[in-house]
Amino acid sequence: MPLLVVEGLRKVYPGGVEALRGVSFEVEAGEVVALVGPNGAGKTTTFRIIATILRPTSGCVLLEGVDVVREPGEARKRLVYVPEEVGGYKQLTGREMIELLVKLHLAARGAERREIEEAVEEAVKLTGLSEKVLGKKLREYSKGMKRRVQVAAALAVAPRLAILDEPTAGLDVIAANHLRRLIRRVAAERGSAVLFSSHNMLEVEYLADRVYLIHRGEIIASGHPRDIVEEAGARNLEEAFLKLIAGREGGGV
Amino acid sequence: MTGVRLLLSKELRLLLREGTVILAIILPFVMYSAMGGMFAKLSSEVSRAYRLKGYSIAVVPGAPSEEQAARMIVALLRAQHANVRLAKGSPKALLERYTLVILVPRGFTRNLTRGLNATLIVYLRASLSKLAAATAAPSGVVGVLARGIGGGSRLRVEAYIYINGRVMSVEKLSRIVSAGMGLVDASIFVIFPVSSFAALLIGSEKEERMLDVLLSLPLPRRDIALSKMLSAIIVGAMAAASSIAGFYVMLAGATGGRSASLFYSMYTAEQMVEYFVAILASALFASALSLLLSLFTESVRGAQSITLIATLPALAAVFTVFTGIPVNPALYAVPYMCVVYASFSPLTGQTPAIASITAQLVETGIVVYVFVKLLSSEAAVTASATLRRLLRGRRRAAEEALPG
Repeated sequence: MPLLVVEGLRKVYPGGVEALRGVSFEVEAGEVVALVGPNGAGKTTTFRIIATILRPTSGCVLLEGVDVVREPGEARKRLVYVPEEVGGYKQLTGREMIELLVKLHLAARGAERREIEEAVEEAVKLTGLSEKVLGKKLREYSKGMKRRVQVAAALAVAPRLAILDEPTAGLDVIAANHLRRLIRRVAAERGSAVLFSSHNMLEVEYLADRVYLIHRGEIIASGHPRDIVEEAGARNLEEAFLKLIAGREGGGV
Repeated sequence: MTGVRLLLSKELRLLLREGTVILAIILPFVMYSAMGGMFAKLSSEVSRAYRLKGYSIAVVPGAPSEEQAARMIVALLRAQHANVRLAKGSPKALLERYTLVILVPRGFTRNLTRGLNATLIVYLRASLSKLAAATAAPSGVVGVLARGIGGGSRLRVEAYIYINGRVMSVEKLSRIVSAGMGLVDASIFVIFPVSSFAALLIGSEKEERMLDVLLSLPLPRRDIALSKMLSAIIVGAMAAASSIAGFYVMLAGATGGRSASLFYSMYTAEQMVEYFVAILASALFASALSLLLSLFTESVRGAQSITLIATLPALAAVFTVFTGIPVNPALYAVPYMCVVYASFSPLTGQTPAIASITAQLVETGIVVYVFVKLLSSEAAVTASATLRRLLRGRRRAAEEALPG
């Protein structure tokens, strides 16, 4: 059975905006899956439903067989969510922030103190930041540094599923490259499945084992990036998506 | 509980590393300490305002030998335009018809003519809702008569107040009123910071883009709610300690160096426990209500403005103290009134204090329940947008209703 099963997900916000219109997809254990699409397509809404922050209007999400709507507490033990907007408690140092996130995750799973300490040290290594930098308050951090801290803390707790909403958005080339390698490495070494979104198609081609294209709240294409490119008769993923969306719109994009 | 401990530790660190929070902790001490001079000025203004207008006064000779003195007192008071009559009967019975009874006791004239201290006994009928007048009037009697009789330094007045079915000396009543007002004022320095800190805790999660992360953590939402409420109350308690210390300094200054604890000697241990329970109940309510309301805001500043809404009933409670203590079961359920009733329990009795504390705790329970429910639903992240949309819809409807 797939690690994550999303089936017929619909979301109508109060006020009548229909953000999702029957989204269905699956993620296997250890798989890196990209959910891509234009702004407002429904990526973040999908992520927030899986992360138990929003409730679907209808449809079902199963994470390791756990219904995230009926048993949100159980589901949260299996996932981590890093939203698109980079945040952090600015009064804490980078290390304190890592410790807090790792402890809160692992304590809920009943982890031993030693296990927690090892995970904190692992997260510290994953950030690629020096001890000196990690000793500074987050208010002094750049967006990329904050993002590194959050993603590293999220991946260090070895979740069954990591949901990363545009993890490299707004980052410089070096920081973005660091995070991409980090995601690939953690997925390969720890067996965590990663569900992420991105507007960078090169990044998607590099990272994703499978891609779902979402447009106006519906999945309109899915498969390995190479297969999608071939089926669309395009030169690359970006061109393939433009063609697919244009076909859906009945004209050029 | 590990989750609560970790979250509590995080919340405290976040609060105590904010400059404005530190300021809010220190400010009450500075403010109360600085208010000593202001209180002295206020006291002198109040003493000038002491008049006997509006009182119906009976002067009663305590013996046939004192009838002439009683007539003289009537004349002196009439000269000050007081509504006064010579009367006979027991003071208690006369207080049914008169608001103030002056008893001229046997030996008053003899003592006065021999240059000894002469004491009048004043009985006053007062209501809890007119406390200031109750404590002012006996002093007014002394002032008027001392000026008229001459040698007023030998004139003494023993004043007793009939209030809420009890009789007590005016000195005791004054001490209770002063102490009660002090306790009510001190509560404001707990309720406001607690409300403000609590609102900050949700507002900052939103502003620092951490609410989604927090809500996706594997923690029961009630733990999140509990840790936020407790941290606000702990920091609020620090502000309260600061205010009480400052208040002590202020009172010590106002009483010429005497211990401020004199003011609180008339409270029993049970009454002080009631007061602290009332403060705790009010702080819990302020904290829970601010947390709940701040879900409907999007930023720290928005959340801070919620403080005013959450604590407005406390201001109403303070205002009641300036005029008197309205003992009315309908008011028991008004938020923060339990502090007023507990502060004045030597006057009002225990029933209003216990009933209003119970009501406050029940209200807190309801607010906490609603807050945890909202936090457990998607309203935690959509409430502000929903409110905005509702307000926009109403505005739009109002605009559409405009003619032409």
